[in-house]
Amino acid sequence: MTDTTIDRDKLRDIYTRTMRVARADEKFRSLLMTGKLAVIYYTVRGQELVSAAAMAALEPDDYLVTTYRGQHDQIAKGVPLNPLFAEIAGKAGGTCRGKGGSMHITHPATGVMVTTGVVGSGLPIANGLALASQNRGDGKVTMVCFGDGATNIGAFHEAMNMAQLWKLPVIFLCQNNRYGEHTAFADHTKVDSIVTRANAYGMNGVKVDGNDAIAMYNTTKAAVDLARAGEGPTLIEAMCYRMMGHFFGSDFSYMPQEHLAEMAAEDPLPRLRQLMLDHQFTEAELDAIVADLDAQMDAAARGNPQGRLRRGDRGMTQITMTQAINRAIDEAMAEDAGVILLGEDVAAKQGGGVFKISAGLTEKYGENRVRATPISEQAIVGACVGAALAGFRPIAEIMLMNFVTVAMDQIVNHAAKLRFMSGGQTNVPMVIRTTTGVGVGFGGQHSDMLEAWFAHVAGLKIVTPSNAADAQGLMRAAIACNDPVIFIENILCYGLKSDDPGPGHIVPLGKAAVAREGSDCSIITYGRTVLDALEVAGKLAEEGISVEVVDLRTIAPYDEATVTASVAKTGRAVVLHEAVKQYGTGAEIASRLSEKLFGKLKAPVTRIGGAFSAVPMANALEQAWIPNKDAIADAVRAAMNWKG
Amino acid sequence: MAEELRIPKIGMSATEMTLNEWMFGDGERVEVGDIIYTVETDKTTVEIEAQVAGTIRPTGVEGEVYPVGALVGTIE
Repeated sequence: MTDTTIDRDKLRDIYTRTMRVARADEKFRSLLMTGKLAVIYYTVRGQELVSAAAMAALEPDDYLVTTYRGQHDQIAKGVPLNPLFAEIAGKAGGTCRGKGGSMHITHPATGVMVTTGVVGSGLPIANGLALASQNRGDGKVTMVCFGDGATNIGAFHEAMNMAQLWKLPVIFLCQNNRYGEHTAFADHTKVDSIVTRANAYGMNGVKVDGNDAIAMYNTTKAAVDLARAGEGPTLIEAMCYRMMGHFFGSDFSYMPQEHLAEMAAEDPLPRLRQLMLDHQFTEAELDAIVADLDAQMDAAARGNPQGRLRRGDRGMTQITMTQAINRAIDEAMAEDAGVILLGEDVAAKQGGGVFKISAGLTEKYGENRVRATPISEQAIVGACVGAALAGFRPIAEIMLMNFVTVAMDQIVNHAAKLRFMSGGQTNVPMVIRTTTGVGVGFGGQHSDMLEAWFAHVAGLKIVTPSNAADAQGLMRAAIACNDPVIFIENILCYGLKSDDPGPGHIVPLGKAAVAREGSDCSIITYGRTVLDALEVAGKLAEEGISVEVVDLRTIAPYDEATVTASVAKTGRAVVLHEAVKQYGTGAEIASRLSEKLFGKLKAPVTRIGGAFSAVPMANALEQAWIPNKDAIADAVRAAMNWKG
Repeated sequence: MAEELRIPKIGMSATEMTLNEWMFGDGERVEVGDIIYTVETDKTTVEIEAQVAGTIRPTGVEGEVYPVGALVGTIE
């Protein structure tokens, strides 16, 4: 049984937090009602006490991850009102300098690490923050808040399982307000209680009346104490009511009358006031607390802190690509305890990864740093995002590139954007290693080169090596990078050998290499097709055609200076990649070349890429799909013979 | 200083709204919480409450469509 008593000072603390949330919410609604603010706002009316009591059980430097309806959590955790109001109004003085807004409040000083606008996505990230604390032994606990609606999304299940598996110091606080957006609980979930789901993962689960200040606080405190003692996670299902529509001004006629009546009777604000009086607080004392908060609120609402936003020499021995990547990770792990590796089968017990990239690393650095994960891509990437936010430099192994589709939300909406949306307060130094390649008969779901998808997203860097020495040097640079890097390996290249570049080799990101010099035509390419281009260049030399091969090495952002200089010299360019030609990265490069060098080109820039279909399995079909060497040679000859 | 009454942003996509009805005439006294006018968007009618007490001076016209942020009156 949870304790039914409470310390009087703690009660005053909870009351103050509750009323700070309530008065801020009222102030926001007032600003919206009078048209002074014109933003989307998810009101927290009815859920004030749940977060106030929960946050009162945390320490100031404990981490919090919350969701778009999270203003109560942020305020109760201690985010100061002035920058919070300014952020919601989109001012430069806001917590995130106006880059995030109400759905993306970040305030590391009070432990608020992520506010996500994507349902359920906070949970995998919370695991990562907790994992960082567990490895560091810093004693922090991570709380992640979400609604009942989030418990039906995959991320919830992956994260719950992983947290319990690894006994992470995380509290899953489900604020069950009985509606997922406009859908009542019974219409989106068949089980009576979310606690059932905790039990399914062997996790401690507790259901509590979220509007009972004492029960809510004591339940949370017990869970926090367990987590801090290394006893693992708890799911708390806090029952409450969302007393207004999904967002400010939205219709809530879909809520039945009985529900509205029940809700009014359970209003946490009068209930807490009565509890305070029952504990011998006087009306005058309580009024004084509220009056003080209102003065802060008015100051925050008036404040416009900083005006509007402004626009503002090599050894003789050889090394394979597998050995090279392994060495780069090994070196980085030896130098920085914050470098960790998460992925399916990566630890020693599982053989050091499907492609043996992590062989020997568990023996050196232990299972805390080389973590074999369940098959849970979004939980893997989310955990890396969280660990990166906490200052680690995690490496996620997504076995095959097609599986990034399962983790796209974490990559695109979180890893790529958190630095921007937090106004630069946080960053995500992580590497996503993945492999792929056409030519091994893996078929449509294990062969794609999907770099164009990521190249289209600001905030991501994309790297792919064509030889072992570059693989080592680029991996070191990727791990050292302060932003997320997608590191694409090619299955057919693992065995490629280079002269051993020696330890500590680094190849800077964003720098292309001229793999072969020439004067008649440039082939711009990257990854495995560099090998094809070099072979074709050798053959064409016999015909008297001098081909220059530029290996981008970093696909995004690519080294435009080197590419432009090469084509300015030769006057002809063929852009080549293994990925599907249509809408591929080659289109961007060809377009920029035309813009820069129009008039100086001796022939149109052409592109070669994979066929516009899924990659077929049968070898003959695969070879027909992939850009072949004859086609590359023909493209160069066509450029040479162009008559205009 | 007079409290300005501006057309609120309601909902995800609304950029303009119809001012449906004023509940008080020019010069009448309103109290905090009184419903002073209604607006309509996407077939949803929303009641706008007074956030301050005072004398209301409506200027917006019933039935007219206004963009979000348009000034439709004051409370003095």
